[in-house]
Amino acid sequence: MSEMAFRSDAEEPTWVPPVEQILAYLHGGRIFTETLPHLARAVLVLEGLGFALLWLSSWGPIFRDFERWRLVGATLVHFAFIALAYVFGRIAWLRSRHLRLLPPGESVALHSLPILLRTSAELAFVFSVSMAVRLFFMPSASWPEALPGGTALGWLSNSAADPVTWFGVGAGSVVWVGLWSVLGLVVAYALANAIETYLAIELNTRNLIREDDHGPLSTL
Amino acid sequence: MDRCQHCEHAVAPEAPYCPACGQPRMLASLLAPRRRPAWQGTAWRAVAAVGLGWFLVVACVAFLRESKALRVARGAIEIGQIQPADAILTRFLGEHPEDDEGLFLASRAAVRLEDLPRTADLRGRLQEEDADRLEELDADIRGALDASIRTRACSAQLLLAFYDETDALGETFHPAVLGAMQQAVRRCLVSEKGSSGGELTMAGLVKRKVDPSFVEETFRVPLRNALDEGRYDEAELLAVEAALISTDAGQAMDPVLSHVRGRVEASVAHLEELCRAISSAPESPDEGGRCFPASPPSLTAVTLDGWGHRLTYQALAPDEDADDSCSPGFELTSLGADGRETDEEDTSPNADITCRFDGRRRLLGLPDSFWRRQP
Repeated sequence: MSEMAFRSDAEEPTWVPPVEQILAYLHGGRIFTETLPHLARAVLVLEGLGFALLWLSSWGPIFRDFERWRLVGATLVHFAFIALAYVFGRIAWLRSRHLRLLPPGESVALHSLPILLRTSAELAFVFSVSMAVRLFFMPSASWPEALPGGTALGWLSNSAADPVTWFGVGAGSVVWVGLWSVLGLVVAYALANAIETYLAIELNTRNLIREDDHGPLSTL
Repeated sequence: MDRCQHCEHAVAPEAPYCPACGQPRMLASLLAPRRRPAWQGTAWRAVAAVGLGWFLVVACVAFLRESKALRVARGAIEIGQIQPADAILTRFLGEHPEDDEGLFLASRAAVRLEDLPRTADLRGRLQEEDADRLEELDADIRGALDASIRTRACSAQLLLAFYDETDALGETFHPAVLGAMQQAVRRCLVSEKGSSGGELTMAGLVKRKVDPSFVEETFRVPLRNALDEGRYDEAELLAVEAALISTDAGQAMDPVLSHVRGRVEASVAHLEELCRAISSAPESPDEGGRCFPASPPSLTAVTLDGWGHRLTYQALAPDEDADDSCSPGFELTSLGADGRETDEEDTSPNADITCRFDGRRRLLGLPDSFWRRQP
């Protein structure tokens, strides 16, 4: 008896082959909860540094190209970019946290998909807003201060002296914002909601089956 | 603590997922009130202070700095982009017609575009706004006119047309324009292809009643330079052209030429004298024909030409049928200004002067009559 017990302990399997471990890592979706958030944050830090360099180096052209009210306007727009960059970074940071805290399970990939969809739509929206700010409010260096209306409205539009150009630029900005708002936010959010609803249904169904096996549903 | 809306399990307000059922509750998590970190208040205040300071600096720069149009136009003029500079300044002056720096730069651009009536107009406006800058502008206009005339081709039509246009600028710039025209004409006169252009330009200027001394001065300097540098052909050409344009100018060249002519005359006289002395020297025996020494006689060592160089002596080759090696004659030569034999025969006006004695008569080789003419 004791010999059998000894043999049984000795034959207890403890080894998991490495390929199986990797496959399990992928299959369990831990790549989404452990790798992606860190990767996203690393990219975010690098992008932040790049933005800081770009932002600082842009002061040279701004001081060179603009003067009077248009320099003031360009400065305000340039400061607005910092706020937009902060929003961009903060969204990416929070969403990477949501991804990191995702509960473990068989369908982590499906759970992470709504987060990724929402993140990309939100970041694209912020980016398109910053582009619209750039197009609408950044003064144009080629637009001379000397033209009529140049001092008061000069920095409010890209090229207010030329209505056709202004319309073109304005329409272009609206298309930018509209495209990303509708396609990015609405469509991506709708997809995310659909996936989340599907997952909720799946959970509810599972709970109902479990309850049916253990009591309340079987009494109906 | 909040409750999960799916399983009613207790959950931390900031948790994005229910720890029991794993369902997402991101909206509630994002809207969960939390305590503001203490460092954030300080950081925001610091950022706001830096931003405000920076904005004030920008505002000062924006309103105290010189207009961009002027900065850009000045840079463009410096690098020779006159057309764009002029366009910028024309637009700028439309908005700021009394800006003295704008008027100053626009004048500089206009004169470089050779729009002289507009230059005069802008200069007049600048005089009304800021007369102190007029001196600086006038110096620049003079320089631009000078450069414009200097770089023109040796064409009398082009040069005289520009000269006529400069009348728009008034008498102030007349001396400067004449000075530049003088330089241009001198350049043309000594150039291979432009001498006729220079000559015609000068004739045109004479017709326009320029001061006679201007013509004289135009020729005098290059003539003196040509003589000093030993370019005697060019000097002769300049003196002849001066005489063709104006008799007075031709005569005015004589003093410049006189010292060379004096040397030529002295060379002729000394050579002739030495030639006569050697040919009639008593120690030259006449026994059925004269016999001259092969080496230079002692007299040649002490007789110099007008340039201070020794005259060369060469005994003529003896007759083939003569018994002895007696030289029947000799030739004396002045080597001219440089005192050396040269292939270019006419480098020096008295390089041609020779005296050849063949035993019976003396043959004197004289230079061009131009160099022997006396005032």
